[in-house]
Amino acid sequence: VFLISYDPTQDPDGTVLEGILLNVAPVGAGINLEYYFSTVNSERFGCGSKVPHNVTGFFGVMEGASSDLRTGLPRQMTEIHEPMRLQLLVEAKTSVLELIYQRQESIRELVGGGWVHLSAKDPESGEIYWFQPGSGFLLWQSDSKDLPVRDSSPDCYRDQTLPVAPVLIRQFGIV
Amino acid sequence: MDALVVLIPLMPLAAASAIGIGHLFGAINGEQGETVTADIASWAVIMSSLLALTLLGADLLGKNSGSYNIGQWLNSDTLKIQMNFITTGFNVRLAALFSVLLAVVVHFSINYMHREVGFHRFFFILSLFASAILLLVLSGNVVGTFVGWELAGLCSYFLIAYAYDRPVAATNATRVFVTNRIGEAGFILGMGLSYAWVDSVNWSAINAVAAQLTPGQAATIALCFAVAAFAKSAQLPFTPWLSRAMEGPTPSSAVFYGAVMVHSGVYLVILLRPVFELAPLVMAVVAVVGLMTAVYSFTVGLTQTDVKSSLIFATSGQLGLMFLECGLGFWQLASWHLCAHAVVRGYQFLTAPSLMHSVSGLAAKEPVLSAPAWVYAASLQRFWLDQITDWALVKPIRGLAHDLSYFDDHIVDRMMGAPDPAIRAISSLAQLEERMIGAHLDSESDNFAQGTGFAGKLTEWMAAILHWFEDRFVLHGIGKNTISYGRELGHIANKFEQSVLRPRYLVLFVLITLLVAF
Repeated sequence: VFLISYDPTQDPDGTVLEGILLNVAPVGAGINLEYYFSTVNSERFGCGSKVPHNVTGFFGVMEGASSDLRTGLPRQMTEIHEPMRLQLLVEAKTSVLELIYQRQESIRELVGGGWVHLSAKDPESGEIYWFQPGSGFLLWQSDSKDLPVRDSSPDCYRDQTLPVAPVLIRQFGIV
Repeated sequence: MDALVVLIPLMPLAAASAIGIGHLFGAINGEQGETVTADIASWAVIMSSLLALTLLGADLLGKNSGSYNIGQWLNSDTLKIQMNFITTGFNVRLAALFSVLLAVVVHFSINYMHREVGFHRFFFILSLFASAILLLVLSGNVVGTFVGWELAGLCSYFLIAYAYDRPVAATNATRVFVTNRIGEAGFILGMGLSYAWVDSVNWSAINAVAAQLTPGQAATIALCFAVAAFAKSAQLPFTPWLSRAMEGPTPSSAVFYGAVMVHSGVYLVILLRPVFELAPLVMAVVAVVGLMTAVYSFTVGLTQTDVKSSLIFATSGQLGLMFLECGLGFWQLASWHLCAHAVVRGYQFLTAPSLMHSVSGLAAKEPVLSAPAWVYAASLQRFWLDQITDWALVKPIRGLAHDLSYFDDHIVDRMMGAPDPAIRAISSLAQLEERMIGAHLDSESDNFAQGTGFAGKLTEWMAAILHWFEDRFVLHGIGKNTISYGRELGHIANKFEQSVLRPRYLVLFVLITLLVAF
């Protein structure tokens, strides 16, 4: 999770937000897609296992004494991060976001093309809207659910190798 | 204290058997079994290294008698092979050093190989290798050392081909294995000659009786073992195998080619010091080969772009210097050089994957000397050693194998009768139908049509000719003849090539003559 400091009250026309989105969305989408593709085809899009890797020319890795340069992520990395589509959660008015969406080609490609999810939390009402390509922002509604509580984060993933469901980790002084 | 020596190679062997059998019967498997495998392997090697250190301590205190004999292994007429071990001096120091390095590498590999498909296989081979190399340095006779030598070579083959799904890795592993056979031929010859001339296969006896050998005999024995040492320690002209061996997981590269196995050639030469000292010519050969390898490896190492290749050429260069030291008679220096190099290179190989961390912040160095362009080209091509070997050895041998298979097909099989299921089988539905209506496709006389009188006979002949034509070119056309004609054409082409490539027969005849003459 990347947390980026942003105050919607200081940015009524969305120029700051536009700059943030232009930087964060492609980078985050790139990282998430790299994990995704390296997971679905570790040998082709990823670079297989790290074990036979050999650092070459101070810029890349190959396998053993001679092979093509390997790109993508090794299996040892995709094993510990679940590949998922990037969820951008922005505290801003949907109207501001819609204007940015219309102005910026690259954001339109990512969000409109479904490569990343975009959700907006209204700064005044606190309601959450999620962007549906083709129909725009829709109000997100869900029943509140109790999450299982754990003491520490190793408790969540101990003895498990597959992605884990959301849990609440108890912090100091908070029940 | 001497008796401890038996346990040193035995502990990892027991670990290898436990892991191997457990894995074979499914008791140790998958990720759950990793802890068990890792515990067995690392405890066995740690125990070995503690035992070796104890033995070393006892040796330093002067409590060891020098050798320990378990008993007779083989007793055939005058050939007696004992199971004996050396418990003093350089061998024990080397065993202690190697076992500690092995323990470090085994411990390092536990995390490194986590969740690998070949986890159990890796630790099985690593334990077996630990046992083999400790037997190699501790065995009191040539045969025991040879067993360790071979097992270590086999383990090296298995770990180079660790990722055997990659064709490059499998090819390189086979190439390394085959190259090392040349050295093993030297080892076996040396072993046989020692038995023939010294009448014993114990290292101590060979070294003690060496002074009574004629200079020619001493030189021959020394030369045979020198060839074995050159192959195992990747000296010229065998150096290229070492760079091909970089296919395995990094810890295995560290232990085989950085720290432990690659030094066994130098160990062998140092072990046979009394024999070598009686053969000044062989000492000179060792020195020259060592020097040439050092220069070669330094030059080639300069243009290597990947971390493992540059480390491996540095290794063969240092090994070359060790051989040079042996050849010049600086035996003490060579043995210290070996130990120091084993530690440093093992460390460098283990840290090779984090090269980018180690070099970050360092400025790129400008080359001090600029070499002529041809040196650069030669260095990049590694002096074409692989290509020369292919041309001078691989191709003629492949041709010879081809000729032998031709001889097999055309002379042996014809005389003995070859199993030819395809030719007698019915190759098409049409043939089956013809056979059902009574045509004898297989016999020369064809009574497909029968008639009497002139017209009848004429019709019969015509029918026979037409049938022959149909049978020959239409029915059998695809069935068998095309293939055998194609084969025959191929063989004619091969024969032509054969006559072009005559030199290999010349070489073969020379070799046979030499063998007969011996």
